[in-house]
Amino acid sequence: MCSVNEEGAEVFEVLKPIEPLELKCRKCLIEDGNVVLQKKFVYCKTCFVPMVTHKFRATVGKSKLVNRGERVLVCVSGSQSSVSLLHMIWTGLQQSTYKRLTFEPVVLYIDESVLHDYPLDQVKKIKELFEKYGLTYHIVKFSAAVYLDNCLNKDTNVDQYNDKLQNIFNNLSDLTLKEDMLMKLRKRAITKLADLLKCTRIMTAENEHKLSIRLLSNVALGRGSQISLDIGLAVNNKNNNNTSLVTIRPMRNLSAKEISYYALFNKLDDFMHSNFLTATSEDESIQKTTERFVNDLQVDFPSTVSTIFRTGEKISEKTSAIAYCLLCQGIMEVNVSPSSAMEATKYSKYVSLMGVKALKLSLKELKNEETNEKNCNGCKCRNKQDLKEKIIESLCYACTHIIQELESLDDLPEEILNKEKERLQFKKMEEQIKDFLL
Amino acid sequence: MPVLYSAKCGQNAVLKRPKTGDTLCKECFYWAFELEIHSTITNGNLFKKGDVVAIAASGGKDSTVLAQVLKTLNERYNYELKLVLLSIDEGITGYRDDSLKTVLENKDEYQMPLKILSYQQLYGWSMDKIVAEVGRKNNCTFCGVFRRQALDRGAMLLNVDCIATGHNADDIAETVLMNILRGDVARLQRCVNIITITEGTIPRCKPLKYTYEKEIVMYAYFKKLNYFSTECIFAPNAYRGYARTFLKDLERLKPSSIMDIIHSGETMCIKENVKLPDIGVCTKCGFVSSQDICKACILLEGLNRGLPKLGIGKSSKANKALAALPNPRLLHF
Ligand SMILES: [Zn+2]
Ligand SMILES: [Zn+2]
Repeated sequence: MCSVNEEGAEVFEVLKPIEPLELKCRKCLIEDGNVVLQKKFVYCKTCFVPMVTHKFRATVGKSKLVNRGERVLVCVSGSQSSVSLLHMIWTGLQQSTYKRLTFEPVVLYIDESVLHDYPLDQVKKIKELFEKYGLTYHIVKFSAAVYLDNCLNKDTNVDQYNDKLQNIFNNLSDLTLKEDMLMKLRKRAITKLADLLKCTRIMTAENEHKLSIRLLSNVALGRGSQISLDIGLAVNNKNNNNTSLVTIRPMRNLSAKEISYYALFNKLDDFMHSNFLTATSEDESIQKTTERFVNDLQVDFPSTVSTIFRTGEKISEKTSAIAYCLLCQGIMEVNVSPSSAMEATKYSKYVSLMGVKALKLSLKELKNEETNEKNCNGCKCRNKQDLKEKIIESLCYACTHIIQELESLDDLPEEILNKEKERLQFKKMEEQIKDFLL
Repeated sequence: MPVLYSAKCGQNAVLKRPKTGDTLCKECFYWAFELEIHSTITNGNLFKKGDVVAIAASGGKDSTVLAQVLKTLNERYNYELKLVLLSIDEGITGYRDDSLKTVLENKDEYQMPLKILSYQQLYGWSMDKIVAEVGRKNNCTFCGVFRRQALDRGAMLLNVDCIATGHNADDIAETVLMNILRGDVARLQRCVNIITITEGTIPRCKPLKYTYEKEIVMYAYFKKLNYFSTECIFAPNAYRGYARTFLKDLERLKPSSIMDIIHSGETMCIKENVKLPDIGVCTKCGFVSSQDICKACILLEGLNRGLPKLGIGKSSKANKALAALPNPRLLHF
C-alpha cells in the first residue's frame, strides 16, 4: 500500500544552495565574523557571547520560573553544555544589580565512576572547577545517591552499593534498556538530592539537539506520554506531594553549535562524561539509532531538529492521569482501552502461546495454567516471580520492559520495593473494607 | 532437528513470529494471525451487524490479506457484513493497470462485488498526465490528496457504511514518526485512531492496525495469496524513505518497537492551548476540508489553469492565488 495514502501532501524545507556569506558580523557590522550559524548568520566573538547569554537569560526569566533567593540545584555532568550552564549562571551572579541573577545555586556533580572508566583525577579536577567559581557545591557518588538516604555523608562506605548498582546493569544485557535504566536512576538520584539539599528547582543543561533526540527515542521506547516530563522547559514533579519540585532546562533554546562556541570563546574545559552508549556502534541501541537518524536528516533538512523540538512543545501529559510509575516517576497508563497497542500486545502473546487453544480458554484461565506450570513446590523462585509480576503492575509501559529483563529485583533501591509493599498493603485494606465504603 | 513449538499443539514449528518471536506451526500461526485481527475488530467496535463494508483494494499485499481475512472472519464469527471491493485507478501505466488485474482476480476468488473508480473519471486527470505536467517532484502529493477523496466518492456511490483500509502497524508507526518530524500534532493525534469519523464522510477503519507487515507477508506467503508486489513506479519521496528505514532499524533492534511507537502515539496528548484546524467543508466541492477550499480543489484548479505549483506549499498562499484568479469556476464531479 502506498503509504502517502491518508496523509496527502508533504512539504519540507529543503536545504537551499549556499549563498556567499557576509564577511562582517551581522550585529556590529564592524568586526570580521568568527561564527556562522544556520549556514547564513555571521557573528563576531564580541557579539556572539552576549547573544547566547541573552537566549539563556530569556529562557530562565520566562514567566518567573525562579523566585528571588530560591535554592536551585544546578546539575553538572561535565559535558560542554553543563560547564557552559555553570559559567552562565556564575556570570549572571556577578552582574550589576538590576541584571543580576537572584537565585541561590547549589551545584551538583554525581560521580558515576563506578559504572564508567573515568580518569582517576576527574573528581579532583571537577572539585577545582567548583572551588574556582566559589559556589556552594556537592560531589556525590552515584551509588550513594541511588541507595542511601544520608548520601551527603561522605564517610559512608559505599562498596556494597557499588556492587548492587553494577549488578543491576550487568543483569541488563540489552544496551537500549541499560541506557534507559541509567537515565531513570539518574533522575531518581537528582530528585532525591534536590529534596535533601532543600532545593525547589533543578536546572539541567540539555540543549535543543539533545532534547529532540530524546523526544524521538522516547517515542520509540513507548514513552510518548512522558515526553513533556523529559524535555519540557519547566516540569513540576507531581509525584512529590509535599513540595513542588520543578525541573528547568534553561539551555533548551540553544543549539549544540552555539554552546560549543560559547565554551570555546570562554575557554571552558569540559570533562569526560560517559553513558552505556559511549563508544558503542549506532546499530546496537535505539537511542543511538535515533541519534544517527536525526543527525542524518538534519544534514539534508536543516529544520529537522527545531521541528521535532517544536512538536514536543505542543505535547502535554494526560491531565486525567492519577498513577505514576514506581521506577521512572512518569505518568502511567491506567484504565487502558481494550482497543490499544498495550492490550493488543498482551493478546499477541496469548494467542501465539495458545494457538488453537486460544479459542477455548480465556486469558484468566491461561494465567492459572501458567502458574501451575511454574510452581516448583517449595522453592523461592515462585515468590520472586510473584513479586516481579506485582511490581510490574505499578510500572509504566516502558519501565516494564526494563524490569522484565532483570533476573533479580534484589538490587533495586529499597524505596522502590518498600513503596510496592505499601501499595499492596493498601490494596489489601481496600479489599477488606470495600463493601463498607460509600 | 524439530524446533520446539511454543503453543504445544504437537506439530513442528515452521516459522518464528516476527512480532513476538514465538515459534509456531503453520496452522497455529493462521489462528494467531486471524484471532488478533478478530480481537482488533471486536475491541475497537469497527463494524455493526448488517454493515456494508468497502475494502479499499489496491491489489497489494495489505488489501489482499485484508480481503481474505475479513471474508474468513465474517463467515466464522457471523459478523453479518456485506463486503465489497473498492479500487481506485490512479492511471499509472505499468503499475496500477497491472495491480488492478490482481484485484479482478481477488473479486472472482472471494466473490465480492468490485467497483473501480479512476482519477480520469473523477478529476479528468490520470496520474500519468499529472506527472507529465508537474514532473516527478510533487506527484505523490497529488496522488495522496486525490486518493483520499476518491475513496470517499467511491464509497458514497456504493452506499457503504464504512471503508476498511489495509494500513498495517508499520504504516501507522511510520506515520506517527512522520507527523513528529513535520510538527503536525493534529495529524499526530488522528493517525493512531482505529476509526476516523469525520462529519460528512464515511467512517474509515483499520483492522490491520496492530498487524505487522512482516506477518502479513508471511500469511500471504503460506496461504499462497496472489498479490501485486511492485512498488509504485513513482517511488515514495525521500523524506518518507528515511522514516521507513529508521523504523526498520528500530524493529531489527527490538521487534516491539512498532507497537511501542503506536503506544506512544496513542498516549500522547496535545496541549490545550495548541490551535488545531477547524474541520469544515470545501466551498467548491462540498467535501470535508480544514480550509475554505480543499486541497484537492486547489490542486485541480492549478492543473486546469496550467499552474500546477498552486497548492504545493502553504495553503494560505494558494488560497490567495485562487482568489486573485478571475471568476473561479465551480468544479463538478
Ligand atoms: Zn516508568
Ligand atoms: Zn474541494
